[in-house]
Amino acid sequence: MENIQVNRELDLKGEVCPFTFVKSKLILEQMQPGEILKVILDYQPSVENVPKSMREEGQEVIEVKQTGENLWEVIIRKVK
Amino acid sequence: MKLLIVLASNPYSHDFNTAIKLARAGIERNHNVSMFFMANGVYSLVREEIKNLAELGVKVYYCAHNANQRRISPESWAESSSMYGLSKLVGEADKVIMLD
Repeated sequence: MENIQVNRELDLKGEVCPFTFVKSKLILEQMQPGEILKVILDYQPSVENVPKSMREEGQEVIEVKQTGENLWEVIIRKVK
Repeated sequence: MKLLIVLASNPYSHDFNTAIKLARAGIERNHNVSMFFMANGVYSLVREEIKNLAELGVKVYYCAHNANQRRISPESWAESSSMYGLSKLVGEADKVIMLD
């Protein structure tokens, strides 16, 4: 996963559902298919549901990784 | 028929009993029944009646954010969901009954 080039990064620390998904979706709408978005989250329920909702939207979730005690990164490739 | 019952009321309200009866009636008639628990409705997930419905084939979803706020950790027979998940369920359902 080290070689993935991230095109946009969205820091959503302090945000909770449903804003975590809504804000991610809005940024993704500005991006081109194939581009990569990194979303930074510190709210555990969003870590479950942002990737789930993105997959249901038809986007590709490349990775969900914990980067700190209460910090996660979700890597999404825009498909459509 | 795909029936979706959304419960936002607390589990000791009359809505709870209504939701249970509607879900049971739906299952008895071989309908595809889903229930979504949100707001104080997530407290219903600690009640045995909902687990029994899940065992009968009712698909049980809950708002993970609302559960987290209330320190509820639902068991695996209930599926973690969100407002986005609810919007998808509403779109797929033939009938939606909202109790709040």
